[in-house]
Amino acid sequence: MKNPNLILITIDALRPNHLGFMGCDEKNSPNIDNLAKESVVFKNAFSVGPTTPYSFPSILTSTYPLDYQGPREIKEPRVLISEVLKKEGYATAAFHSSAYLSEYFGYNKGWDFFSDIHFTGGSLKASWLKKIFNRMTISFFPRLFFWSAYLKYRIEGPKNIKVRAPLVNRVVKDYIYSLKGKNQSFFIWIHYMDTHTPPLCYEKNKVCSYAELIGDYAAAAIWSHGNKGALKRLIKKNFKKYLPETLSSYDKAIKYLDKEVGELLNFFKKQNIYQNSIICVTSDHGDEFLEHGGVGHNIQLYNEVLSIPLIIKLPADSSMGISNRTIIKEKVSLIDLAPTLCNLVDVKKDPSFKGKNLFDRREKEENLIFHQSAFSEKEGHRLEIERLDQCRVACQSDSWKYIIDYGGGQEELYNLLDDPNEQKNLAKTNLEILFQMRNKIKKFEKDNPPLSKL
Amino acid sequence: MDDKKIDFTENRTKNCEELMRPEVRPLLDLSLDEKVAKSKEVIKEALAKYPKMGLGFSGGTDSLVLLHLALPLIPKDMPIVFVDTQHEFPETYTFINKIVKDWNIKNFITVKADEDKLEKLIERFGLKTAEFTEICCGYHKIAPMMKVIGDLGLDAFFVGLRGVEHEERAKESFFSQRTNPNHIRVHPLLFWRKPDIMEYVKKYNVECNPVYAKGYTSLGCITCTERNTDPNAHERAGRGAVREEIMKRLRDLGYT
Repeated sequence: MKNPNLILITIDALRPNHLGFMGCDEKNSPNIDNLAKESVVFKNAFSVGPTTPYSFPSILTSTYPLDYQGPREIKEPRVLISEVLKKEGYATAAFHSSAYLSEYFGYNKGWDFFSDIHFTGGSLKASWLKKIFNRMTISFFPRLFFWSAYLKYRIEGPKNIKVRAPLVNRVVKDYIYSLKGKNQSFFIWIHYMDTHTPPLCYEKNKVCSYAELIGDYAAAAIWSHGNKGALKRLIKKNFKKYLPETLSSYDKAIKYLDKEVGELLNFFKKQNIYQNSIICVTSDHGDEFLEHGGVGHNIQLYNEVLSIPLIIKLPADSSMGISNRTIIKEKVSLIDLAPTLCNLVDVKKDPSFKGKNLFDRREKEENLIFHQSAFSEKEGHRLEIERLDQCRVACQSDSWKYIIDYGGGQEELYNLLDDPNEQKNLAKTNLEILFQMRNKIKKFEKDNPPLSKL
Repeated sequence: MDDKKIDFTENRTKNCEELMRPEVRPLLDLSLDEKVAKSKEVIKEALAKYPKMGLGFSGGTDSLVLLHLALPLIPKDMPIVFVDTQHEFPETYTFINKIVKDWNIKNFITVKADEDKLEKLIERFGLKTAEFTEICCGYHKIAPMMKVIGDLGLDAFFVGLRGVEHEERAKESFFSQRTNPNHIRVHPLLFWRKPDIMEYVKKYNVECNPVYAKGYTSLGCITCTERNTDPNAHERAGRGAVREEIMKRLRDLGYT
C-alpha cells in the first residue's frame, strides 16, 4: 500500500493565542480550527528559537540552531527531512518565500521541486545593505523614515511587500496537478509569510486607514531595527499608541491567511488527497507585542515568541496507535517534529536527528525543552555567530523557565505556574532552582556543544 | 508526428537536423560569431520588410537570447510580448520583471486568458491527455498570443524558435506565414543548437531564468514541465510526450 502523503504547513510568526482552537475569542481562524477538530492538538508546543533562522534547523533537520557551526548554512552533518523522505521514494516539494529559507542558506536539499518565491531578484547582500541604510535613516532622521515609508506604502500599496498566500497556493496546486497519475506518495512543505510583521491591511486589500498604516509602519520599523539604541523610546511610544491597530492588523492577517489555508484544504479534499494525508500545521515562532517591552522577534526567549500552534491530522484510517481529536497538554518542542513525521510514515529517522517521536508515550524522565538564540552585529543580521557571548540559551520545565545570556552573564528564572507571563525574575531569590536549571543547561550543552567546530 | 513515439534521447537533435531545410542545415555548423551575424541579418531583413513587428518573450533562454540580440536593432517602442499562462514558475515572473527593468524595455506587454480554466480542463479531460494539452495550451497560451498580434495589427512577430528542438520546428523557414490573424513568424535563431545558446549567454554574460539552475532544460507551465537532469536526454525531455506528439496540431493553432 502507498505510504500516506505528508503535508507540512508552517505559518511565520503565528501566535497560538490568536487562534480559535487555542482559546481565542476572535473568530480569526475558522478553517484551521476545523482542521484542529479532526487532528491531534498539542496545546503546549514551543519552537526552539525565536526567529526563522533559529527555528527552522529544528523543524526540518531536528538539530539545534547553535549546533555545529550555527545556523548560517544547512549542511552536513545536518540532514533535511526532505532528503530522508526522497531517499524513501517520496516526491518532495517546498513552497516558501522567506529569504532565510532559500538555497543561499542550504534549505534546497532533497527537494524535487524547490519554489522559493520572491518578488525582487535582488541579492541578500543588497537587502542587508538596504537594511543598514534604513537603520541609519531611522537613527538620524526618524520623521523622514516614517514619512518615506508612509509615502512608499501609499504609492505602491501593500502588494509588493511580501508574497501572499494565493500565489503560494497557486504554485502548490500546479505542483499537485503535475503529480497526477504518478501513484507516488509526496511530502510537501508550504511556508506562508502573511502573518509576519508588518501585518498588512488584508481586509481591504489595497486601501489602509491612516491609523492602520502608521501602526503597520511603527511595527515594521521596530521589526527592522530591533529594540536597541536611542530610538527605543520613540519607537515604543509610537508602538504603544498604535498597538490596538497593530493587533487588529495582525488578526486580520490571520483571518486572511486562514481563508487561504481553508481554500487549500478544500483543494486537497477535492483532489482526494485530504483524507489519507498527514497534515501538520505549525509556526516557526510567535511574536511579541510589548509583553517584555519590545515587539516582533529577535533574540528574546520569552514564551510569547516561543509558543507556537501545533496540530497533526492523521490519515482517516490511521492505525498509528493514536487517534485524531486527541489533545496533548504536555510541553513539546519542534525539535521532535521531523522524527515524529518520519515515524508516522514509517520511515526511519536520520541518525543526525536529535528529537524523538512525539507519539512515543512511554514513561519519560522530567519533560524539559530547550531554546537558543543569538545576535550578531555583523552585517546587521543574526547568522554570522562566532562567539558564545552572542548567544542566549533557555530551558523550561512544566514549572520553571531559566534563561541565560552569555553576553553579560545575566540569568533569569521564572515560576511558570505562578507567573506564566515571565514578569518576575526569581534568579536572585530562588537559588536552589537556579542551580538546578543551570546544571540542566550545562548538561544540555555538553550533549549539544554550541558553535562546536567540525 | 501525431502517431509516432517521441525519441527523448539526444539522438533527437540529430534527427531534427536531418529534417531541416537544405538552406538552413549548413548554418548549424557556423561559429557563434557567424551565427550572431546571420541572426542579426535575419532581424534586419524582417525589420526592412515588415513595418509593424513584435517580439515574443517567454522568460526562457532562447527568447532571452533573441531579445538580447534584437534589442540594439529594433525600435525602442516595439512591443515585447509575454504570454502569461497563469501557471508559470514564480521565478519566471520575477525574472521577466527584472529583465524588463534592467534592459530598459519600454513597451512590454503581458497578455493572458480572461479566466483560468486549468482546473476545469483537468477535471474534464485529465492532465496531460492530448485533449487537455491541446485545449489548455490553446486557451491559456496560443489564443492570448494570437489575439494580441491581431489587436496590435502586427505584420510579423519574432520568436526564439530553434529547429533542433522538435521535428515540426525543424521544417520551419526564417519567415513563415501564419493565419488567424495573418502575420509572419520570424525565426532568427532557427539554426542555433543548445550549446550555441549556452555559449552566447556565457560570452555576453546574460543572466538566465533561475529555474534552469534547478534542473529544467525547457520551460513551460509547472503542471506540465518536469526536471530533466539526464545529460543524455534531449533538451525537451521534460516537456512530456503528449505535447511533443501533438505539436503539429498545436502549431496549426498558432503555437511557436
